[in-house]
Amino acid sequence: LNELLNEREDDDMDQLAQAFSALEEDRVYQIIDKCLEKSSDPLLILNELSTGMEKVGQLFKDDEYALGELIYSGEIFKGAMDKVKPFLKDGDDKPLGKVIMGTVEGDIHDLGKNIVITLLECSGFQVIDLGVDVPASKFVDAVRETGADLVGMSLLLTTAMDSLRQAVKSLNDAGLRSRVKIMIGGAPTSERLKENVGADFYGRDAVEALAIAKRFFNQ
Amino acid sequence: MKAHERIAATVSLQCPDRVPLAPLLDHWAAPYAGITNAVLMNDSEQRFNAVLKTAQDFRWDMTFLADTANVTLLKAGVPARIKLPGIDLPENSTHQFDEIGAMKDEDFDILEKDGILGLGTVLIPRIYPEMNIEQTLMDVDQAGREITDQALRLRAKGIEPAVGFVIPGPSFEYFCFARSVNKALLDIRKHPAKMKSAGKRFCEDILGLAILTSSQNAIQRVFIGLSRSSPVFLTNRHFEEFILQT
Repeated sequence: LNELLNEREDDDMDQLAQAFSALEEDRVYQIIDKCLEKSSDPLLILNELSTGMEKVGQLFKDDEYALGELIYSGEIFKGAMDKVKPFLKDGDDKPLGKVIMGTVEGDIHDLGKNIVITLLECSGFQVIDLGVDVPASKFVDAVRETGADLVGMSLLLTTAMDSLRQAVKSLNDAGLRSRVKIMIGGAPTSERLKENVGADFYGRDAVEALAIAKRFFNQ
Repeated sequence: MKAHERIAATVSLQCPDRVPLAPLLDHWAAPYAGITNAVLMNDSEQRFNAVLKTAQDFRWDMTFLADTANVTLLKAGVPARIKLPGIDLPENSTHQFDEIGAMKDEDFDILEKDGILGLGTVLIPRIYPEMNIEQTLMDVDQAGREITDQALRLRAKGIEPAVGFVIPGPSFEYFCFARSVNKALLDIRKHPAKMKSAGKRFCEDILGLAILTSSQNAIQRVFIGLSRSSPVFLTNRHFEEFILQT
């Protein structure tokens, strides 16, 4: 009987990643409730959610999903985490790495930045969100205060490119560049701009930004 | 061919004497004419002079009257708080929209029942507590008269005004401003029926306003903005369901 029950539990678990990537919100929650009722390991649930999120990222890359689907998947993930969190032990949700994110000064667009944050958090990173219209000095202070290893700078407006340059320069001037890497993203950014301002990574979209963070933290 | 003939020939798929020039112009006229973006957005006469100088110098056949940089129209028509050059931003910045999420879930019903003007009277005080609805309506009326007058003056110089009305986009674009892009994208999943029924009412009302205004100012072309309806934001299925229909 135990074997049969374990098998059924495995079935539920197997369906979790599939339901998540298909964005079946109610079904995801039902499966999690069922697994938690059966005292399944919450880390296994997190693992399946993470697999589901990877699949969503792949569907986005394949143009099957658009930004709307990425945002919705983040919403489902948050709902799922609310259910799983009370069952985690201390240390179970130790972050994979610490990332600072912000939209540079003179630009108040936050959609792209927020999607990157959602994907990072869903994948187990701790994110310090500085918000929008962030002056260069705030990036410097945040690196000093949090000890984060990676800083993400976002912008939509071409007019904010100088602010990006200034933010990178301020981290250089503060002597922090040896201990922190910078990734940039947003409509006017490119590999060329990355080189030009002296950043380390350029992410074409949120999924790429996540891949950069994973590579950087060896995940 | 005169400018308006060249445009008309092109629109009716006939052969013009040359390719007509009709760029979408908003803030660019300001630095070209030597004024700040703040002045361009707030001073109707200086805005018109900047537009006219730019269009004449580059020998354009048709020009926008920098309608998308007109503070009065932006404040009345776009349901998000605008950060303005000279006030919230440096003098020469481009304005930016702060999507404060002024439209609540229950406001879909107001839109469906009382239409776009009914919803506007609810949203404007939430977005701009300092604004008065009666004054706003008078300001919009005045802006409409100025556009009619400027269109006549532009035509007298042999240049065709581009559009008589600017529609912020299909209802989804409006909801992106009013609810925030994030919320509007989630609404597609969480309140699809409301989005469609309220969106249908939005579409009927905005078309009515566009036809009325274009008849009054005698510029029988409208601009329909699309940015958040692109495939980056929406899948083809959602585009067909939520954009094409409304």
